[in-house]
Amino acid sequence: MRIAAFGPALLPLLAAWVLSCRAGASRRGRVMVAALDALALLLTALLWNVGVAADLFSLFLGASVLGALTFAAVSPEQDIESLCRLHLGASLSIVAVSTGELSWSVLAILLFGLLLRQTTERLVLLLAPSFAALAGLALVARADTEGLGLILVAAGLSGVWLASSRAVLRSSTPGLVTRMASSFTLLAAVSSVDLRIAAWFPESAPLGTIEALALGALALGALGALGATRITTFLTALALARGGLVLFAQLGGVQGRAPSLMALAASGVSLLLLAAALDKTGTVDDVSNLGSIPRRLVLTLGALSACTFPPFPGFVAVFPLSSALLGQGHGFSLLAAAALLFLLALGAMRVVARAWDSEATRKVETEVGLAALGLAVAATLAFSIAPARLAEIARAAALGIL
Amino acid sequence: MSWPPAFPILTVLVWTPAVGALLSAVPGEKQAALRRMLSIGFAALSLALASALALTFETFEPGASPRELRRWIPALGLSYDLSVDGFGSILVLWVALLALLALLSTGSRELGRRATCFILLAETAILGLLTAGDGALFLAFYGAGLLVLTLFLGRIEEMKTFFFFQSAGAALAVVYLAISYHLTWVQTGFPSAEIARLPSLVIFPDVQSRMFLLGAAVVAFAAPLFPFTSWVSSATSALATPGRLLLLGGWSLAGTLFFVRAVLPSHARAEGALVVMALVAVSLLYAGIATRVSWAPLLAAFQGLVVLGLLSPTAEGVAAGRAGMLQLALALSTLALGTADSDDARGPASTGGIAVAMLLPASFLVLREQWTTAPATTALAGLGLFLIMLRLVSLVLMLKTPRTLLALSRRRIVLLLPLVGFWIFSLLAPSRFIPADSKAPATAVEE
Repeated sequence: MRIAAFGPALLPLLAAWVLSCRAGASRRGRVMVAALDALALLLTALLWNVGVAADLFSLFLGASVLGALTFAAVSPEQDIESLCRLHLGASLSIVAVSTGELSWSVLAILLFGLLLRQTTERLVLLLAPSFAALAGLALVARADTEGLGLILVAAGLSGVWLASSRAVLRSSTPGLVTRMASSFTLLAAVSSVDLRIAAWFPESAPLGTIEALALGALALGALGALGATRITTFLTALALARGGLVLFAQLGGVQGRAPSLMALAASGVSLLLLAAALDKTGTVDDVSNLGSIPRRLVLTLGALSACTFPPFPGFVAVFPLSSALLGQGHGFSLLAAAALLFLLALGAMRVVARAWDSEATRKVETEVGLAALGLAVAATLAFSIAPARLAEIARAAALGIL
Repeated sequence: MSWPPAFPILTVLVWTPAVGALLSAVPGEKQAALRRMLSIGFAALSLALASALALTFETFEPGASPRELRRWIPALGLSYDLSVDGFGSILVLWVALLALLALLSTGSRELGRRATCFILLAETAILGLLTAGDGALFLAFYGAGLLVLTLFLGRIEEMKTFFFFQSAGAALAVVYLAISYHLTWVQTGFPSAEIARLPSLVIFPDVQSRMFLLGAAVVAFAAPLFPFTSWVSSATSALATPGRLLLLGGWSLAGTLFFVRAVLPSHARAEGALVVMALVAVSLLYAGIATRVSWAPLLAAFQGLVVLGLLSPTAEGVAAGRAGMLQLALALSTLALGTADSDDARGPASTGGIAVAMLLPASFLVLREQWTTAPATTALAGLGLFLIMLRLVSLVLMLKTPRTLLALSRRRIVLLLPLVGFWIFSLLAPSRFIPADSKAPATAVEE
């Protein structure tokens, strides 16, 4: 029944086709695209509830990808071409998270990376980790060297995500939400491969590599967020730190899978909300201009949940995650991660403090949009006030890793 | 006697100010009087509930104190758990009174929408901190309160400095409670972050010491215990009187409260206690010899005295430490009614005298109880306290005009009265401050 999980991947393809037609730029076309994305999300929820697709893990990640896609589609003033590429990438991402073949997942992710708008210079940065991942895949096929192969796959895919995210977030196309959604969609696909590697190869999984990559990403992200002056750099740093946190959760073994999925979902919410709130701001200092209180509230929610600050979305996952890490003997890494998350919180507060500076003269009155407000309310309800259902879903999905 | 089971008094008490904050945000800038009426109404309602709780507390049967336990995230073992003991009921009453005093401390035109909402939200967060029985819920209220007070400061540099120290404490608290959660899961087979379970955990002595030091580090950052903590002066300068009252009188409880509720019941007087006592002695000595009588060394020194009491080996010493927590909050609120911290030492000196006087009874008891176990540290701490008093007295004597001794407006003097009244009440009800676990053996002996 695994094939059923691929079903929702077809609708984003259809939406990409609509966007590529002339009608895609019109209001009617955008409504149609949003409706198709929402339909795909509903279909995934339906598959979960009726139990047609037994692979709950794939459905969970697929729903996360489709949620980001729907949010990007309903956000105002997004670039049509970027949105089209995002939809194609989302289809590839759903294939990557739904397939049981490592080679298909890796290829889908590499194709997604190439699909994002790349300059020649950035393409070189993407090709090196891509080749590493492919070489790793070849080694995994030879069972005697699968340990080294898995290291190359994990490191290569993380490198692909990092290079693609940096390129897409720092590009000059309008629509920060679409760019962030692309980064998150790719992260979901890479995380699915890492989680499957840990589940399929419990003996030879490259935990040391994952630990180094996770702490490195967290450290780079935290320091980047502390020193960033441009908003795109700040967002890249936060995305990197969140990627590191999701990766870090995978060290927790079986117990760490559900918190890892919760952290991934919370990452999507926080990064997309941040992108929506920070759209059209060039530098960190520009944040002082934000006049709309809902926009500042969304910004605060996104920025502080990105560093798992209590009581914002993603915080409750800290408890099972820490327990899983301690259970696997990663106590010192946990302390290091806590210190880095503290630095990340300081970086996030730099931006939040500017938004609420009582001495600033505010000029920009642009609203954050209904989509962002809706997501903020839903995220607060689902992650902070009544997260029991979400925790159960993440647990069921984690048990479903096949 | 108990409250009707259907009436969730603690939930209503904690969330009433938050509802008031939401409603107070509705009236526009021209409807300041309506906003003031709404905010004071909700704060008064909260105070009425807190008073009812505190007054009826003595009538509860042992073990039947109010508690509300609901499943929050069963899969993770986290619950919405609110409870209060005798000591907690006094602190709850104090915080409810403090928020009302903060709203009344300025006129309706001076207190804008932002400040009104922040005061009421901060009240909800601090009340939640006082009543939360689950570690995750405690941290949720802690984070919310920290964010509200950070944004209340309003100026970027002050916000960053305050957030740096306080979030360092919060990060350590998260680590502490996460480790406790793991230990509970391993030892009981079920995940739980219930704070009351922590004392029953079996922990090796070396882990005990590390955990104690981790918990003490939370207090050192959040309370604070470091004499060079830089946020106190900048934050009190950035805030007007209502904000200063909330920050010094309410939020100053947060760090020591974590120590009392989560650390001491599990790791009382672990080996690391000596390190903490040495830090306290240094803080007190520094406050005594500092060239400038600023609020930061005073706050660190007095928090140190409270912690010293909490580390006391006897129930009387612990009770004095707990009473000191409240009396320190009262003393700091008295300071907050005066001028903001500044280079001019007369500001702190004038109200600082009253503040020190409020703390003297508890300080004496704390030092007396600690003398038998750690005479050297106690002597150093006592010397520090003596030097602080000497400095304050000399500063007051050096003032040329005695009228500046208490340069408070009539409104402030009226506000000072409930503070003094509450202080007298804290002296007259010592039984409320004795830890519940030390009452039981005494009863058994009597029987």
